[in-house]
Amino acid sequence: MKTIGILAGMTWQSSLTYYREINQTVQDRLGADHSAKIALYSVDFEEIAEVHRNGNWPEAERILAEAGLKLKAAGADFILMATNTMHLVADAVIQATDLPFLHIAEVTADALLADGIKKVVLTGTRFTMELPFYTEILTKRGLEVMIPNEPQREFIHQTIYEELGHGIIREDTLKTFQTLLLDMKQQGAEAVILGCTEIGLLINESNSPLPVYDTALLHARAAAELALKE
Amino acid sequence: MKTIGILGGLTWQSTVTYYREINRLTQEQLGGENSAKILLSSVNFAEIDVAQRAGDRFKQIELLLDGAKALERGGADFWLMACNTTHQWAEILTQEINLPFLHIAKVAAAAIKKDGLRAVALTGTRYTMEQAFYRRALEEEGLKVWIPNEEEKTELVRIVDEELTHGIREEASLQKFWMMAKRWQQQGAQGVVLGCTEIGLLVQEAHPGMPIFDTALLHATKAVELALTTEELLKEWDYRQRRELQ
Repeated sequence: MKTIGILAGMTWQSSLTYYREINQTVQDRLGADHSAKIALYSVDFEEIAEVHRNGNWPEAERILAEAGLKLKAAGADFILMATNTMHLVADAVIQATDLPFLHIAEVTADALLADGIKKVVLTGTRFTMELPFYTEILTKRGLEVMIPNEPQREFIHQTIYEELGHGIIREDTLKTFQTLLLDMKQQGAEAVILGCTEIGLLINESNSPLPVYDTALLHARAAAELALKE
Repeated sequence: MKTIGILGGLTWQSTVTYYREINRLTQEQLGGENSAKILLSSVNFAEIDVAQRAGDRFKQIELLLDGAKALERGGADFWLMACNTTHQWAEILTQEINLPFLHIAKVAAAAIKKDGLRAVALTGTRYTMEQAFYRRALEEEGLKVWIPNEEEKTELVRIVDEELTHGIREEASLQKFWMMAKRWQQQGAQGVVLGCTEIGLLVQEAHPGMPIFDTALLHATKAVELALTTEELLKEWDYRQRRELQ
């Protein structure tokens, strides 16, 4: 079994989802007493949140490249970042560590294409929805990506930062989110990407008007499968 | 803020408790968006378990040492094992790992004494209850320790192995636990040490008049305190330092 390197703490709540899902997948595959071999570095999220506020991305590159090197030193065989937004600085981590890197957008594209989906809504932080680093990978793989409009993006972004990031789940927020997805469905969307590891705390298969692609779960399962591959 | 090194996966369910509590407490104490700096090395529990059942101490130590060395190489400032049972190898492991080590039984003992108690019952895996390492670590701190009888030990081990390590929490098992605790109390125990990180998943609240000491939670709390404090206090808690003093 390979050792999975996880850049974590962005936020720690979603890192827990990864840790649980990876171990559960290994346990399901190998038997009850088994668990995954993991090297995980969890950053102080305040330092990352500061970058989100002031846009000092080189600082984020420095923090995460350094954390990536810690994982390499700890014996990680490949690396993943347990976050969508911070894939913005994925290249810095890849260059610093020189280890195989499991990109969350590639894993998501694999899952969508395997299910024959062509047109998909992308939800996430403003960075993920508005900057090209995420959508580029999806479109390159042949997917048509629908981005929510400005007020919708504002609502999604605020929900992540003000509520989900603090573990707050609200019924009225869920209703607004469901309405937004219904609107997208009428515009031709076949599925929704939960492109922020936090959104899965609110929206899931059982309460979404569109089929859900929870990137955190897909990413975690793909990591476990990769670790178990001969 | 110091980086907390955690040797985890022993089992992964109890590592979840550590990771959650350490981050929750850090956020609570620092406010804002802060979370803890953690380097976690999580092992495949099946490998340790096989070696444990075969009584292969060298293999157990080798596997734990591999995990702990990852913490040292990855730059942890101090380390802990998120498991009581594996503390039977603490003496050997801390000789090989050049980092301050936070011993779970020492943390538990300090909390028990702080509450003014002198005598406690010790629950945990069979190794923790039967072998001397854990009881002695508590006794060294001046505590009197009750070990459950054979029948009680068998029942506790069954609850941990068959239920808790698989994430199952049975109400009937919780009631059995409190019946046992009542017997220990009649024999003079003033509190119960949950000396297996899994048992805390079962016993989440104390009964009035019967304090419980959830070692995983106490351990995680102390780790946060040390991550946010001075080098001096960290040195004071370093298990290697205590050994040198003795």
